[in-house]
Amino acid sequence: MAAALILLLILTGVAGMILADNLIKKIMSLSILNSALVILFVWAGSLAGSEAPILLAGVRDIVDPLPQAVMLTAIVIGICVTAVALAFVLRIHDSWGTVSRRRLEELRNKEDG
Amino acid sequence: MAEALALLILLPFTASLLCLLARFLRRLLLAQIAAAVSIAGILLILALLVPAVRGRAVLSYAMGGWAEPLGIALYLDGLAWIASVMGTVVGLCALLFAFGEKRYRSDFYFFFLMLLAGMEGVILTGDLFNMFVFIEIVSISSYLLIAYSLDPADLWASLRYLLLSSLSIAVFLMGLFLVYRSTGTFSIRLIEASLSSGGGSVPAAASASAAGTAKALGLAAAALTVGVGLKAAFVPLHTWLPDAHAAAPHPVSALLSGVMIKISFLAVWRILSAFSSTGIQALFRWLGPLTALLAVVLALSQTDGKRLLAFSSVSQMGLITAAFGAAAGGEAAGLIASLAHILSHSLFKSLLFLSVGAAIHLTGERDLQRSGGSPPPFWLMIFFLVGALSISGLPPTGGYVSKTLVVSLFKSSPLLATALRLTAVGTAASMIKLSGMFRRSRAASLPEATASAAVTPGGTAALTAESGRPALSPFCLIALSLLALLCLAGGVAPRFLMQSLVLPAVGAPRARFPSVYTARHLIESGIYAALAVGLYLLARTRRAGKVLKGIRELRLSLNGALLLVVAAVVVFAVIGNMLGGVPGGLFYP
Repeated sequence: MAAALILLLILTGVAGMILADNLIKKIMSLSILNSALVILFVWAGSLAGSEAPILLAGVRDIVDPLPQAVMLTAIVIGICVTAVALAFVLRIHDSWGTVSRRRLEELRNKEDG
Repeated sequence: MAEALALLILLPFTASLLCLLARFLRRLLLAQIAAAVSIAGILLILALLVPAVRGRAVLSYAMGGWAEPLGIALYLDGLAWIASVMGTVVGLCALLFAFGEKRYRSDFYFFFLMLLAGMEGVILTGDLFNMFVFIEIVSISSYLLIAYSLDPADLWASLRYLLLSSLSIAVFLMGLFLVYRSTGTFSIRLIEASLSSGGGSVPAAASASAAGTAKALGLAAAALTVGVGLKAAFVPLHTWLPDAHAAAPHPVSALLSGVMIKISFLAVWRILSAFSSTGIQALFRWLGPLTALLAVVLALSQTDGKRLLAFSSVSQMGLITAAFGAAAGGEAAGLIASLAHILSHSLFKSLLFLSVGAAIHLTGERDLQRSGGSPPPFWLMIFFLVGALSISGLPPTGGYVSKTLVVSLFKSSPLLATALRLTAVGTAASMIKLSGMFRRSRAASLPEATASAAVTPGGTAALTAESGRPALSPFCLIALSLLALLCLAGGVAPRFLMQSLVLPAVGAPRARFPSVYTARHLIESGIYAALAVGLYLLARTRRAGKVLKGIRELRLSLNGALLLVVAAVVVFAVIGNMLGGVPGGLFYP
């Protein structure tokens, strides 16, 4: 069940990135995709046990701590990329007055041709 | 000694923080000194490491004292050493050029050094997740450097690259997930060891069934290849490169085209050899010539000088990947040719980008259809010529040596060899077209680009700027001269350089290095040059101009490009694994 939901989230993210025309929506889809991957790693790590990996006396049967640890880094990177992307979109909107992918490509081609 | 490996990454990182400090103190000089000192420091460390690498030892350093599989280890072997040297030398020249241009603030040097540190990390790391982190450091700094002018067109080019690169890196993470599920580690060495011992030696693998593990690893190899491969820009993942590399400031274009795409390709190289995925490697044998030919046609159709060069970078990556693919059978000759072309391309492409950048800096004109009215001073042409001869594969340059090595790999398949030969002709023709930036009038007679092979850079010291024109600073000249001399050195002493640098790096120190200065190869390259002049004249005719304009206006939409990334995963997973697969992988007999 969890696996199916995660797969659905991943597909939502990828489809949104490819199909959306609005650049903000593309970036939101990217965020969904990143979050889905984080959930995927954490979920897979959780299958190994049932307790939080805090090694106090009496704690046994812990989940795999490595996926959780590496996903912290992935979350940070995801946020950085999202921030940069949104800043770029803001600047593009300021100059060209649109966030539509199709409109921007038309403008670009007109400029070149 | 091994601690020096961490220093290779930490040095540029620390210096980049100083640049950030310099930004707030408004002291540009501090940033410039920090950047120069850190790059000089890296070169010094790499020089000190020569004896260790000579002894063919693999240096390793566990970060923070945590050994693998819990911690992250850095590794330096011959391949990593030569890749570091390549990155740092080109980085140094790009930095000097940036000093000379005098239009960058401290934050430029901050991102520049982050880019260098990230590339150093991708080369040295022995851990796949750590590789992801360094790739993202490289990516984020390159997005910001490409959009440095804040011109909306440049921002759009950078954003396209950001979205494509983010999708591909998500694919990389999915590959990492499969790797971790199947082997229980991110360490490249441990993955290699567990695969060669037939799997199952790592605890986590025991839980999954053997067949499932094999399938997952086949898929993982494809996902990782596409994930990093987008930055290496082979077809169909090249769509972002021309816009992004043309938009970037000149020194950044040189660094991105000269080094960044090759570092990404070396990451693919490492991953595929750890997975011993000969099927995907064999796919490159076909994908390479296709990339080379397709991109050179696009290059020839461009009218923007930097876009032309960017497309030709894609085309040259085709040669590099083709040679790598030809090594799928295990013979060292393919790897030797691939690495030789990586090195020579890094030198001549950055030389070309910087000399074209200097011409744009001096004349303010980057469009080939409008340039020629007031050409830059003549001596700039000399630097361009060295680069153009090298990329066209003409003696006496490093490009001649490496291109001859690549083409001679394909003796047995006439179709692929023809594609590579046509690429050579097309590349030379596009360089003749590009030389219009350095000549007085485009209606004038053909340049002596193919005849004056023996020109050496010299007599450039006594230059003065013409009145009312921006001058070129001595820093730019040093950068150009250094790259030009290295390009020529590659052609003058190929045997020495190959035996001391390339052969040990691919782990074949005793491999036989074929002679490239034979009458047959020389005559062949002469014929290419003559054909290139013909092709250039043909491309100038009115009818061909219309066709080229049509090709130029074929633009793939962003959505199409994103879809191609997904398609590439499927292609690599299915065809790559059909051709060979990871041992015990998908479709593996």
